[in-house]
Amino acid sequence: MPDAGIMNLADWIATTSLSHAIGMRLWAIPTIQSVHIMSLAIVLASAVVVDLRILGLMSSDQSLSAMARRYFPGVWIALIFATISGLLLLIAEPVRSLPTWEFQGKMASLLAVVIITVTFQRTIAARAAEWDAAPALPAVARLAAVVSIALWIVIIFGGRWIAYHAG
Amino acid sequence: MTLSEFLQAIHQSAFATAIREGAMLFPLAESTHVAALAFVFGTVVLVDLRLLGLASRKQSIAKLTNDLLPWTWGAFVIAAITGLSLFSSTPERYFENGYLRLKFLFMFLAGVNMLVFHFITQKNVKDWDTDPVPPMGARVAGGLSILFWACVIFFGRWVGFTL
Repeated sequence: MPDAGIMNLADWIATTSLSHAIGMRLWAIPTIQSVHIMSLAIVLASAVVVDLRILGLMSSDQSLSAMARRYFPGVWIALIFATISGLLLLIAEPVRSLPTWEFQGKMASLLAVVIITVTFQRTIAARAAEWDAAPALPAVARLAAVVSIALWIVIIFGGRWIAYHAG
Repeated sequence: MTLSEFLQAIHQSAFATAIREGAMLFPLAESTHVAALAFVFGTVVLVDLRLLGLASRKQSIAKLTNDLLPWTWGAFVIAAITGLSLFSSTPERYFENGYLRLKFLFMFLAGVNMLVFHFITQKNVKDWDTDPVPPMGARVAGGLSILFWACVIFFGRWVGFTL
């Protein structure tokens, strides 16, 4: 049973003029969804290639700090576009998404993976000398990389699963 | 066997029936398709931005593509298998769908663009491999690639609204 406060919020958003404006245009939702998928794709790819480097599965001959500097900025820039397009989709169809466990789980996973990514970005910069020369990274870093990849997959599944939410 | 008989045979196969009638298989295949396609698009854009001279400018182009593209192809295979599985659930309807045809047209154009880049433009890559901004031919290839793949995603998303 969704929380009454969340249901009220969703109902209220549905009455706003922006929600109506998006909902009235047949092309709007597929177009915004496409922008959302493309932004999320760049976020995912940029984060996952660094995860793969941490796991020693990609570009092992390159320094981790160089990889992080190359790809992490793309995570944050694309995440801005994913957030804006995601907010528009939420405003367009609040009752369909906001109260569902799929959406809420997606947001919890996003928060978790953002924390992991920020921690990676800071730690890789702070320990560049040590980690760039290390043949293999500490187990905790490799575990966090696996969790990061898993969370990105959960985020995409959660987003798609909103469309199949029953109830 | 005519085309419509062929599509009907796919429709009636045990595999297609399972995807069509199982509660979970279609959403699972579709989510996997989106995740795989997202990785394909994301890594392709990382390469394209390098070709446009907009990102990874300190990195050798050959090195960047050799690192990323094997993973891109792996994800593409997953996207193709899951995509065909979705198609098989109601093949007549997917086949008739104009948006899916447009999606395949742009995937074809993306493929041609890639082949032209790989076999013609990239021939003298040694001369500009480490240039921050590559020559015009490479930049055009990068720009067209982003455009074509964006169309693939856009028309693919429309399929879900028009079946």
